[in-house]
Amino acid sequence: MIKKIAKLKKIPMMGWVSLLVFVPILSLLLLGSFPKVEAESNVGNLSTPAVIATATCSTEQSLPSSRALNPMTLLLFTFLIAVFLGVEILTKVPSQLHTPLMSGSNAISGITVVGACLAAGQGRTSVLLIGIGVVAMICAMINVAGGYLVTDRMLRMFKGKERK
Amino acid sequence: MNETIKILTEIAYMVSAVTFILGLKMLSKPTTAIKGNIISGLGMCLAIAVTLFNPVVESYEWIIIGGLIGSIIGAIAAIKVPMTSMPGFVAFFNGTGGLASMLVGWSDFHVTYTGKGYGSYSLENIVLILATYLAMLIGGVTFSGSMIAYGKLEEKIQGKPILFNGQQLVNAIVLGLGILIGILFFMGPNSSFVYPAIILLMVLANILGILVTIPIGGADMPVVICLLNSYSGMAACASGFVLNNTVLIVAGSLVGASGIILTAIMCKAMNRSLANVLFSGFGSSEGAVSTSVTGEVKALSPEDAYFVLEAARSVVFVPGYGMAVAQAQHVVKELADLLEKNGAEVRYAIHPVAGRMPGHMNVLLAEANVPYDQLLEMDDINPIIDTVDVCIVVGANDVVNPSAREDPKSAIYGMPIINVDYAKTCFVLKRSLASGFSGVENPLFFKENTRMIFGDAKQTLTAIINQFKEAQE
Repeated sequence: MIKKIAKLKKIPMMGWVSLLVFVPILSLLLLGSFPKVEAESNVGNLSTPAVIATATCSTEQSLPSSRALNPMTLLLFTFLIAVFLGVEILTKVPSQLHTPLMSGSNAISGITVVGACLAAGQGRTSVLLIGIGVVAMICAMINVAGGYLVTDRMLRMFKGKERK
Repeated sequence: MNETIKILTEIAYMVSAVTFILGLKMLSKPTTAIKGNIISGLGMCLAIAVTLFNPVVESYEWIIIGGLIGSIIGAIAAIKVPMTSMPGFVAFFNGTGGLASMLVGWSDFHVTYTGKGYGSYSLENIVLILATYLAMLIGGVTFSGSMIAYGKLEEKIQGKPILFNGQQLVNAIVLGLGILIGILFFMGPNSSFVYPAIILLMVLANILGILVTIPIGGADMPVVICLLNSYSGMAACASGFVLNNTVLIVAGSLVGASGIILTAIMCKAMNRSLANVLFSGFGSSEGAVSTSVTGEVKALSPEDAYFVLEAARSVVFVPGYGMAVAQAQHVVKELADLLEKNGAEVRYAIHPVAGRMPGHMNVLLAEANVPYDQLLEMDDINPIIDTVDVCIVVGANDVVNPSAREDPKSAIYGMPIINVDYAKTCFVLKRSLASGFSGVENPLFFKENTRMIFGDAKQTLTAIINQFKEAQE
């Protein structure tokens, strides 16, 4: 689907913008329409029908619903789709871009910084936990900062035919 | 209120996941690559910013301290690193990514184990246990393996394959122990022996990373770096499952996929299976079994080379790792400019595994201001190589070795090569007649149309350049 959208050369940006807008909304609606395991969600003061439905569902927790979907299945599904998408997008990368692709994906794997933030910011007093968190934070930020900067530096050296 | 923040966080994570996909997509075209990188960087900033608002985050001082140290190290490294050291640099980054994932796994394990403990075997808990285990295992292997690869690439440790008796057995025992710990962890995640076992697991994972990387030699490094790149993504993905975090899962699996694709491309370009690259200790034997080549070597002086080049209408450079070692990319470009001024058509033919990482040669030539449309891939140059007047092989060996095509007994038989011997004339810039990484002798040196120009590639090229300049005066 992504490829098809990208192929519409006349409106590529429109395609991507709509994807940016619709995918989160759609997924949220999807997420919202499944009953949540925790009952906390009835504090939510959003008024979309989906959220209200969720709230009612979760108050009667043991309600057997045919629409029930385990959040973990959703994560596994996300994982599979992402792998598939990654393979689809990257199969035809020209060899000249292999090194920037590697350093760029290094930067992206620095996304562990999200986990590192959560680990380092727990506000616990355990020295061990703080130590783990800080080292994780350092490592992940090395990837993020270094990865994006070096990729940019490298890509700026790639030039097409010299325009005079 | 909490619920609203949760939903906004999820939306922001989804947006940044989309920017990563979009960024990678744009990174696969030279014209859009810079923008793609910036877009994915913005997505990363968004993901980090949003995480700071997570209710779990109570104190910021350690995040800021760690984040600042990491950013400064990363930024300085990114600005300072010379392009010739890119392979080592990427290997190092793979390692830090792996370590971060391992530590995130450990941190979550510590909190869960000492806190509420692991619950019953529901799908969530099974995935959580498995993901925690995998994040630590893969993260550890990635970290130590990458550090070994980094050491080898930067020549801080011996680059040759290190083999010892019973190596496979040791590997199998270490891996077996690791799996055993996994089973123990799964059977009784809250038992008292689990914490020490998990510590042991991380130690074993790191030992395993070292063990599987040391038997791999220099020219096989492209495959190893790609594979470790993929592992660092998978480790991030596993830690995403630990934290139930969508953006970690998406970004991790994208990186995992990209690494796997590159690994497959590299293996294909060497006509070897991944298992063969990882376990055979290729290139360790000094004189591999091969039919010895007989024939006469025709040496050429830079002066004579000048006369041939002066008359050439089309010239193709074939760079290899030797060009990186000699830092000869700038003189190559200088000579190319002179040849173009002289009316010749200059191109560069790049083998997928030339150098120490995928795309290594392209980056070096880009650094020397070679426009990328002059760079040809192997499959594009081979059909037209017989129209080329002069092929100049700069520090490449195995990737231009005709025995891969002709000699079924050769260790590299079947590997696709750049057929430089089909060109009208072929110059080989080389220090000696020594065989390349594979240990296979190169019959190219003895071919009728081959001329060897002995000496340091950079000095040889400079000598030819001087001839050109003298002639112009």
